[in-house]
Amino acid sequence: MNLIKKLLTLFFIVFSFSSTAMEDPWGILDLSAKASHELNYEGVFHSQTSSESNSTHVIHANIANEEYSLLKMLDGAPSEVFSDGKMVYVKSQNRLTIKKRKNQFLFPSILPSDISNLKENYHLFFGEKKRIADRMAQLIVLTSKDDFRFNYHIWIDDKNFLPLKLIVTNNKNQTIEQSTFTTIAFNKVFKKDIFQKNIDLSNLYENENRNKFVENYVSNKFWNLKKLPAGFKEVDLISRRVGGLNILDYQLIFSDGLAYVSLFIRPITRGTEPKEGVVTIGSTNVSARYHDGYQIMSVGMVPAETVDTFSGAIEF
Amino acid sequence: MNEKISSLFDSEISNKEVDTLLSKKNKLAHARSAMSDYQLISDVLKKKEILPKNNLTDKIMSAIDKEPTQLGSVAKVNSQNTATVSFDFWPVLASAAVLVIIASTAFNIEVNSNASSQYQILAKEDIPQEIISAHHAATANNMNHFVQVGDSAK
Repeated sequence: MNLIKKLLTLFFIVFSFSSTAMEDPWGILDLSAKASHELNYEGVFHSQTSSESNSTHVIHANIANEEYSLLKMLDGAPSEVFSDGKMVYVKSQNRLTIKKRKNQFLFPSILPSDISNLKENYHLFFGEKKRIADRMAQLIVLTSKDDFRFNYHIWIDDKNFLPLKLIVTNNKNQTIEQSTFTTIAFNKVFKKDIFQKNIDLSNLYENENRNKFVENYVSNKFWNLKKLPAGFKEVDLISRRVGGLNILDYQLIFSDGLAYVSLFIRPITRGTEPKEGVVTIGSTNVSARYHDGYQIMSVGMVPAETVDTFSGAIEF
Repeated sequence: MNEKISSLFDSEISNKEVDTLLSKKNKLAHARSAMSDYQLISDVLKKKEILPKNNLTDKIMSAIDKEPTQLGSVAKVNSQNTATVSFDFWPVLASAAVLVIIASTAFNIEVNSNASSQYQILAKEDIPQEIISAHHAATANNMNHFVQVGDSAK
């Protein structure tokens, strides 16, 4: 009887997965995006960029429709990241900094909730299944339809659709960066207080960090944007006071759902020479242009051509 | 101390206090400087003739250099005119310089709106760390980048 039950369950999972894939291959990304927000899991993942590699312990839980995650760096200086779904708190060497994010997209929550923009800019392919962190995973490859973005290889858990591994490659198929689970366990029950026990938010937030967190409403957009790379939409706009001066600089954030580019508009301060050009730092490209008293800089893990197009798109 | 020096030029202190003040003035460098400044202000207010000190032109030129400039404009400092301005205008210029100093201190604006279209080729070291940090803080999905943001915020 037990065996029949197991066989039926297995059949149901396989059937639901293949039917999803057959009806709309993109549907698996929808399921994957939901899984990364709804599932309870605990594990260790390894992240590697061109310059660094680190292991991170992660606990993620959805408690009463509120999402909590706690990430602890296992290598190097002790650091923790706590997120309650709205704010992200970074605790590093007993210092707490607070970041507000409109979306939480730390690995494995890498997929947008709305995948329609991905369909316009990427081709989707199903690759081979392979075992990752002792679980079977289906490879999904998203290749760019143009030269403005990199390619994303995502291994999705065969049973619950959580992304278990991510590799980003450039157009020469070279790895830019990757993250992969080495161990993971699901269906654990977590209480809210385990996420907050190491971080005393009330005191630090009130006394130290409230003034540091600046997100000004920008009422006067004095710039226009022309000919942006296809598929990138503005998702955020942040303004900051330039250190010690009574002037603001602006950070416009654009995304196609997977790739992100920040476009900075900064007044050139006295004694600073304008810069122009494109530079690669690790997996990130930076483009600089000078325009009418402002230093324009674009930053992103995208091809150099993309950041340069963003920098050239500004006009006053 | 400054208040007492100011009172001295306004004839508001007693003879004994004048002696004490002058004695301290000789000992303290900042008191000597303050005395000189208050003397100048007093003379300007009383419309006395003022012989410009050697460094007054420099001070005014320096103040004009620090003047806030409008973004995007091409403002030029005409140092020749400033240096040869009529003697009668010194009190006005001195007042203007004081205002400029106050304004530049209050607003602390140092924008290089005169940056020419000449530019340098971007090098790695030219890229401000806060730009990379701000980008990763808002967008990174890799934990390595994100924790570095926390570190750089120190």
